[in-house]
Amino acid sequence: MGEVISNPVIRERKTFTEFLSGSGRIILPFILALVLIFVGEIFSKGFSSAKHVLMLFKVASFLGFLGLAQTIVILSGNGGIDLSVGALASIGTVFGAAIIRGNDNNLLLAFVIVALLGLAFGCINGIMISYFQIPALIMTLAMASVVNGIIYIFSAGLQISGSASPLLETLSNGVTLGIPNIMYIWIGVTLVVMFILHFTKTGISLYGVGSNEKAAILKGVNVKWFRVWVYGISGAISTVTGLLLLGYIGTAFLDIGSRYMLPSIAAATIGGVSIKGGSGNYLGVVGGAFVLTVISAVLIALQMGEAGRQIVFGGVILVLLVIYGRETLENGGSELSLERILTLFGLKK
Amino acid sequence: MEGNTGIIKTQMRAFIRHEVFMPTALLILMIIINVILQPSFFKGRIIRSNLATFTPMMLVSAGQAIIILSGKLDLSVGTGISLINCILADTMSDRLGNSILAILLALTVAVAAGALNGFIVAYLKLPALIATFATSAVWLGISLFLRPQPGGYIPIWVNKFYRFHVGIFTTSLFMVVAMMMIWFAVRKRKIGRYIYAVGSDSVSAFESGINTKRTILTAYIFGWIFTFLASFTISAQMSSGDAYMGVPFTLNSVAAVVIGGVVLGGGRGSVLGAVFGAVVLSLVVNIIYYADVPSTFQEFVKGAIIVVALMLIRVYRRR
Amino acid sequence: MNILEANNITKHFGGVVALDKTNFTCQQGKIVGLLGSNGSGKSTMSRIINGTYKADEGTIKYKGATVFFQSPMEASDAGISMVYQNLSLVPDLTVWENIVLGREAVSRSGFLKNQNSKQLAQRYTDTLCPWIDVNREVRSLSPSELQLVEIVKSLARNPEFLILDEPTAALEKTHVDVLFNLMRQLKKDGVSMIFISHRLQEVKEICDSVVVFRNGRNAGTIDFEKEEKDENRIIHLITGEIISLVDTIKRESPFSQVRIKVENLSSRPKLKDISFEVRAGEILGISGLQGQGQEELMLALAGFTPVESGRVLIDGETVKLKHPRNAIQAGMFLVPGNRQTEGIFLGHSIFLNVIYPQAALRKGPWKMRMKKLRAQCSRICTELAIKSPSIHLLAHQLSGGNQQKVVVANWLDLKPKVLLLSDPAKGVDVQAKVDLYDLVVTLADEGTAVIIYASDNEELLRVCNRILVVYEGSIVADVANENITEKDLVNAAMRTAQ
Repeated sequence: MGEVISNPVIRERKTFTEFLSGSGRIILPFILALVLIFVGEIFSKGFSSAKHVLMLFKVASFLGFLGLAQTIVILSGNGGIDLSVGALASIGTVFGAAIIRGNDNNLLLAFVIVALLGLAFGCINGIMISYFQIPALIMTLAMASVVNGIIYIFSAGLQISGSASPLLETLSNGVTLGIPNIMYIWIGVTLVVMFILHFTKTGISLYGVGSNEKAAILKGVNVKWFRVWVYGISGAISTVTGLLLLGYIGTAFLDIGSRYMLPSIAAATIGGVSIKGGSGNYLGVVGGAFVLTVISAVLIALQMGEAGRQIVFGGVILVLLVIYGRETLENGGSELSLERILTLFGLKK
Repeated sequence: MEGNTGIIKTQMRAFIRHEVFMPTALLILMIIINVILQPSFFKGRIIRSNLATFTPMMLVSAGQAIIILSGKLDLSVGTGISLINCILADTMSDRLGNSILAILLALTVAVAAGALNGFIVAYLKLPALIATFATSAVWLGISLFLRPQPGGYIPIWVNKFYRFHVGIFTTSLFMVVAMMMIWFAVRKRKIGRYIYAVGSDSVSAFESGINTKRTILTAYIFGWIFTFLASFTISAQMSSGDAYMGVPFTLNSVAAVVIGGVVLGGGRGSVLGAVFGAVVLSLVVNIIYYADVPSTFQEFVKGAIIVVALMLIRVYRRR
Repeated sequence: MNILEANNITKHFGGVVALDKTNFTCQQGKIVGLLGSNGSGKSTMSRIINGTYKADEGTIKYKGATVFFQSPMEASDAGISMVYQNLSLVPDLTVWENIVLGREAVSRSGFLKNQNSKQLAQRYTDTLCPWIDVNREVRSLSPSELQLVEIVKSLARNPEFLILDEPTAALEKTHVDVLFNLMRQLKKDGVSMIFISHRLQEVKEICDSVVVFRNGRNAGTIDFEKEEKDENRIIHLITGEIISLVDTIKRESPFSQVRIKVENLSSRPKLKDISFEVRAGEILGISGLQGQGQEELMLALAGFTPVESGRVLIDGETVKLKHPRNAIQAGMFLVPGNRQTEGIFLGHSIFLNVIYPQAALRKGPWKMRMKKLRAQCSRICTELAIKSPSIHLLAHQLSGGNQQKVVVANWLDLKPKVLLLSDPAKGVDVQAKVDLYDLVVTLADEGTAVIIYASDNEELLRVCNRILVVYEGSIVADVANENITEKDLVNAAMRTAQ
């Protein structure tokens, strides 16, 4: 430490470097995606066309929403994770179809009921995790099992089915002014989430809860109750995403959500959300969801068989984790600074 | 005499507090319920059949427990079981010599997989949850490469070997007992204690001079030896290889470990408890079947029972 | 004969110079006190000596020969051992397993010889803390016992040179005496020691000499065998300024109304029927042997631990204490005892830390006015003399004293009616300690009732109007701070212990 300097005014605004070192982890997934899109173009003409890229964003949006559900849960700390996001998305699809039955008039009702359903399941998760102190990993896993069981009872047993309505399909699948509607929704959601996380009491409280639970309690946050809400909202987001998936695909099929479960965690981790909680933000997760989607698309464009796709997918996630997700900092995990990017590229000693 | 009852009371209290108490209690409870629903439960034939069916779960849960005790996790054991299964199905034949080589090859692959996972988690310091999810995709890919469609051949003599028995003492029971004895021996060595130490507080373990990375790597390798045996025992019951057959084992093994009293953060709990937890889970499936729960409800009931069991464990821990 | 000589040691961490051509010597069989503020380089020097860090320049001579330790294990094998604060105990193992951890006795076939290890552990435990059963799980020990076991662990390696890094911070007073007795015995056996502490009383009691670092350089050395043990001189060397820590800054409260009244507060098992009151502007101290319920009292008042019976009134109105939220709404705030686990968000900025309670408050708009809050934070940081170029610096990059100031900064703008401080100066350097207590006095002058629990009685005597002595969860003495000394307080605490 140097000499004691008296500082009459302490600097309030972030310097450019401070700003960038936080944003490094946000920019890189997009750069990576850009490179991959270029690679895709080599193997499949039209891959990098605006239309195709926008379609990739469209597909990525669902993963982006489930990644959001996962992000808020992980941010809340205490080993927070939600392994039920996939199952909840599936039940959103199935119940949504049953309520809508192809009729636009039922759409609003469907949204409300599906959201409440997700909220309820999520809150049960939260209560078990907060008040009964069951580890989140196991509780959400068991909940996924329960939810899948209910889906099965509902669709196979009671043989209830349904389908999406035209308005819903337009919402999830349609295009306005050349841009997929769902992308508008995603952009809107991203703005709202960033706002909440950085400018509101809820967001600031969340970061503290995830960072140091006891300190948050002592500073007045009712952490137990807060976490119930976090899991509840995660559940609601998951089920509503399922409803949107219904619009995207047109009909409900049972297992639609399970393929998103682990990728939602990957998207969050790649996006810089530390698995220990308390640090990270959603913008990175957007990048994570997008790059994961691009990877899948490139692998299909390369006409790799399922075997090859799985291997490469796994390998790529490992590589991304090496760059992003290492648990090296005492207070969290990933911190990608501008210096580190430059070092990686050999531009700095 | 007064003194004697005092000693008995203290010992009983110690037993109740012992880490294996809860899974043992749950196990006995499940057995009782099972017997009520299936009176032939204790018949030799039924016991042997159950043992044979439960053994893969018991073994993979034991392996998962060792990894979790070291403070980590492995979500790729399920697809790993598929992988070993596919390798065996593709390389085994009726000729004993070839088959022994095939088994050795599969064992080598299992150890290599465990070492890879251990390396990624301990040396590259990637978060275990996501890293092992990534490697599980790799194992699945390799399995699909070997066996795009289910097929291959597991020799009949393997099945016969697996079903061999003297009374109720089956090969599968022998395997589980032998592995547990090996583990108890490991616990009496430095590495056994170091696994617990690293799982309990890896920083303190490191400050005490323990090579934490090597310890975690070793835990993964032990875990995968168990996983290999789990795959072998389930392959012995199937006659072919299938790339997707192992998937349910992953999350079920974690559930078994938690029910068995092992703390997910590591450092606390017993592998024997995890084995009991595996039996408890398997018995739950049995119970649901014999209780004539309609097939549509079975998945739901299974999940609900697990949640209730977890609540019970938590309530017990609070005392 | 010098057992250890560190000459011209220089060490950089990134762009920061931790040590600049610093020297340190220790004679065989002597106890040298190593003093300095946080950031003065004393921790860095001790970690270079014990092999955790490698010096960039300079040499270390041990027992006359130049050495280059690559790791703490190497240094330990050579006889140099360091005791940290609870850094190497594993909670889920027993005391004896921890004491031999990493150096277990094994048979020729590689199996653990547990009986041997247990006996060895028992032998060393008996020298320092014989009442601790070596079969207990470490997680069941009190913080003081943890520190003792940590010391036993180092002793079990038969060191010739022992570095004790703030060993007394976590120890109860009686345990400190036990430790000092052991240290004197070790001296007789020829062991040399470095004793690092912020507590000048202890340094004066046990050290043969002191070496003071300031800003990474030598500030001075005092040989107690030849010179006077002058506290003011020591403080001058540490801070470079003239501060008198010995004079009292106690003053009388200008207010007369009762701010907080505690009636028959009970909370099993630690608190029994506690009653007292504090006037506005009054500073009340809580003292007593460690672990008698003082920390629990602070947490109970803060609303964190459940209260079974009794009540608390602030300005005449009852406050229900089910959650810290209730206490905060009533204007009662807590600065917790262990800032790392209870008080601060290490991974977040000073800014987020300072404004956090406002995010947790029910009243106020949901969208927080960031620009206004940034200005507010900047102002508070300047008022508290928190040394940082920007409010966006992360908390873990600050020194202990500055971190503590950030925790206090939480509450400043919320106009505390009652401020609870749980051992606020623990691990805080001299300058920051002075700043903190000055702040406390300023708040009191504005009408806040202050309740301070401190494990160091000297601090209480400096600043409090009244002092309560707690024993086994009850108040056994309520003395006005007039003409009493540390000895009186200790007597009051121990008399009932008889």
